[in-house]
Amino acid sequence: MSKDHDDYDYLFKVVLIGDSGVGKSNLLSRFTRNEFCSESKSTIGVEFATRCIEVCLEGKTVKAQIWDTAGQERYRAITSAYYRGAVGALLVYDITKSESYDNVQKWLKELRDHADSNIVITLVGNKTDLKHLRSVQAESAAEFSSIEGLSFVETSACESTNVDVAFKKNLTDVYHIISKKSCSSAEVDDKNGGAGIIEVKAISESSKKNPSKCCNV
Amino acid sequence: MSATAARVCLKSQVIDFPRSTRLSRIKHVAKSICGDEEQPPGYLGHLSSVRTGSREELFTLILKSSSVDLKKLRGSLWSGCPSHLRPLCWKISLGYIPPTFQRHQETLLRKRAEYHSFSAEYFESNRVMNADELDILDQIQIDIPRTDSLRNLLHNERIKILSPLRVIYLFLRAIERVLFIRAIRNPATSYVQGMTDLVTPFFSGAKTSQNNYEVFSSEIQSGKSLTRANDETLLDNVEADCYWCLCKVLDTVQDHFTCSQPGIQRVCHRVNELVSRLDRALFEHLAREGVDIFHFAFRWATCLLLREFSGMTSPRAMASYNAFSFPIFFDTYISEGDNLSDFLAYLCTALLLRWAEQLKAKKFHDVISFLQQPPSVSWKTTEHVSRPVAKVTASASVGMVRVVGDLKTKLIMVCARHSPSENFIHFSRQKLKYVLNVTSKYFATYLNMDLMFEGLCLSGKKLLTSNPNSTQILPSDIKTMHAFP
Repeated sequence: MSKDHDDYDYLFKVVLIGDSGVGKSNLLSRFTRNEFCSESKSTIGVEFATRCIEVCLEGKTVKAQIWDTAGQERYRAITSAYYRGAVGALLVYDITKSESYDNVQKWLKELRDHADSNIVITLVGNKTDLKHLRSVQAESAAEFSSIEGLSFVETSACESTNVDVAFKKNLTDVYHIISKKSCSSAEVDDKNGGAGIIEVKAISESSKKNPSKCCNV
Repeated sequence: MSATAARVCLKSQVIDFPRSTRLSRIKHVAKSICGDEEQPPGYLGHLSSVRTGSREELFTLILKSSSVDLKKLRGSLWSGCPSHLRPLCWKISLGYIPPTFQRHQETLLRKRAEYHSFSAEYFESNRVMNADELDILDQIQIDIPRTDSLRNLLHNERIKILSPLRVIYLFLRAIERVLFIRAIRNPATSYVQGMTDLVTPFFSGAKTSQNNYEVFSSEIQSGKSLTRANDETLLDNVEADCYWCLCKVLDTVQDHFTCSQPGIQRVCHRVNELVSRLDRALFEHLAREGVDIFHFAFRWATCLLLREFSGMTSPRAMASYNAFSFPIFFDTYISEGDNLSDFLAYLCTALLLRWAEQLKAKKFHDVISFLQQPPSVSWKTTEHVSRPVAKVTASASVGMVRVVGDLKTKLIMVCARHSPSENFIHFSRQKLKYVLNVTSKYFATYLNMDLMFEGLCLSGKKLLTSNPNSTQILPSDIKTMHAFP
């Protein structure tokens, strides 16, 4: 575990958003602690967890700092403050609840209004274990995702299906963008005050002289 | 005894005990750490003359009067109340029913009828709800099964045996209606996630003993058995009473739930300010790590720490597998009245100060993770309470509650203010010292509530030490305190 905490190449801030009750907190607990609770407490404001994973063949380790947000509309003013500096977002809906899928548009708008413009978004259809209750078809969500330029994964936090895939997909996509950018220019490192991308061991000088406050190393 | 409990006992020594009793006091602490639960010798020994009656007698005495002394009642309620008297004490303290005994029945009849008319109106079968209302109801229905104590109600096998499913269903429906009606009738706050946590103490507070629900009636002993009799009228009355009591409490923290929740932000700012004043090193560490009080105190304040103190429920409820376990510190909240929001800031600060050393050793991620799942979730009332100790300390505090209540309010006001007014009440130094000793002792051994006082005692101690030659607390002392460190 100590390796998990201290030894990583990048620190990415990721937000989990979506309607209330779609399973955001359980996706997070499944991913970070391999735990699931069918009736987990409602999230008040934001909650937080981290996990380190390897993102690509080069063996780079990314520490994901994941902020799980409350789904209720009332909390949006508070939760949207946490979008700032996030490099990835998992936008979750419940495949058994079509309203939660209909609201994906609203959530995308939220992200466009409050998050960085280059944020990597993964659309996640959760609760695939409830096959008999499905009301959102995977095909239509996949089609929507390709139009909007999002990646798309269906998961079941309950059965632990595709949860790691969803997070890894998002983090890998972020990593590719970052590594591509840091090759071409150092402009991505020009950040301060809680920016989510922290290149811990990168050669780039600017990230070292101006480490973000969430950088632990 | 757990490490936490041991720390609690040690913490109580923060207050300077008289020299002669310090040794025996330390011995007692050592004993209690080792698990020896005999009555505490030393400091409280000379107070044995105060042992004129139990808390029950105290409350009965207060409630017996034809017009209840509200100040007295609230002062006593602050340190906890016998469970069978709780419904009545709460109703009076909250101002739901008047202090005058003769007007209880009439008020209850009127208020219950009023609630039932709301209920009939909003839940009439052919009423079409608008989209907003449906959203609210939907959200409440999502949240109810996710609320700790209610989840227990649904899934605990023992509870299912004690209460037939139909009764559980009726309960959940009642809670749903209470929250919905409150939301519709208060559009400024509407329903905010976290309110399901806040409603359960009222239902559990209505429970007076195993299987008995106090009808919130003025006949103190007339609890009826809900589970046996399936008395739906009884449940209807409990529902109406819980609604009004919930409203009273939510009204005092109204701005915790209005748009963008300014009340919560105020609590967080105040905590920040208090920490900066009381533990500069901790404050600086948190700032260096980029920890915003808001990251964790937002939930603490929204749910009134119910999730952080989830184990601090009444021992009786735990033992008898009651449907609801009653959060023991809610008595204190009720007695705080309009000061609840301020008090919460103190409580949060006291928690942070308690964990200061641990926090100072942690980095950003670990600080947040720690405070999201703080050690207090595993604090159990039963760990800190041994019956003889509780009894002695409880009765020792009987004579003191009035003073404690007043002092506490004063300290809250002083600490909350940036520039204290010049005519701040002049407490005798001796009296203050005595009060702080007794309260810290009382709360350290009973219910783990010393926490609630820790922030205040710290401030109080600084008042005492700031000017050793003075016999009274003067405005200059207060300024010294504000200038700390």
